[in-house]
Amino acid sequence: MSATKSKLNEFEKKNPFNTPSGYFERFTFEMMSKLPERAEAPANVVSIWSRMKPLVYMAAMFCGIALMFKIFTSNTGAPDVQSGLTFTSPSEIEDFYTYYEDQLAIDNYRQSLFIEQDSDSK
Amino acid sequence: MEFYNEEDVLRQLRSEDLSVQKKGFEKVVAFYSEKLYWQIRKIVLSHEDANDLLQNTFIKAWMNIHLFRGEAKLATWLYKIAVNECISFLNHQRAMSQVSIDNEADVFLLNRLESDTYFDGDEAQMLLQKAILTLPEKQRLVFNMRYFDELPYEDISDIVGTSVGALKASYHHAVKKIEKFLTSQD
Repeated sequence: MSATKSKLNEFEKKNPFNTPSGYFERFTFEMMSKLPERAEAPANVVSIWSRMKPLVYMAAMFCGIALMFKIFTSNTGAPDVQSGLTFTSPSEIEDFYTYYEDQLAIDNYRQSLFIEQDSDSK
Repeated sequence: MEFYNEEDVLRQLRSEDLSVQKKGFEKVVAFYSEKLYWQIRKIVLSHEDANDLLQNTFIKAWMNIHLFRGEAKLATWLYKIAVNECISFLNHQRAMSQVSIDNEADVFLLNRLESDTYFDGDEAQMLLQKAILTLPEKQRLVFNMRYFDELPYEDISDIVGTSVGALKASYHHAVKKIEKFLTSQD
């Protein structure tokens, strides 16, 4: 590297290029006269939708989260307090099952009657 | 030259009044034209080409001044436009004249240099320019900015969009190649 530097140092760091006389003095004036016409930069008009978009997206996201939360919590097997079937004592449960057994017996009896009637008619 | 205050100029360039913008831009042209010219001239070598490219650079800057957000320095933004203009110009010229950069030197630029009436260097300086022309384009850019203009690597990095580490390596390789060329000419 030092050899390289010394080799380069043999050359004067002088600018070997020149320009026509008065070039830089004239340049600004000539350049400004050549500038193309430019329309005013359009003002940045922000539409109402553009302004509201983040808020709308955020609201939609919260609605989605709330919906998912509701779906997941409703499937956790928690007791359904809205069904209307509430028992306050073991005797009430027993009465409930007795009632259903009676209903089932009556249904079976009726069904057997229909079957007999059908076989008689044939 | 009128006192140049970049903050005031930037305020003028951001004005909604076109005439105020134009006044600000005039100050930019007056302040940066010489610096940009020499940067361009070292890339394209001929005065005529450098003059055309300098004008194109300012026209592009004027048409796109609303895109300048002030994140980088105005000088860096202008240098970037100028360098891109030069690279596009050279690629176009090479394609037109169907010459490519060979292993010896960039033939198109060598011809431009030898025919340029505004080159007043001696034989040694012509030799150095020829040595620089043996470099690949990016190395040549880096070498010119670092060796002649002594720009900090950070500024060069902003202009050419390459990391400082890669630039240092590039400059090192450039210097080695130039030394090799110069030694072979002894």
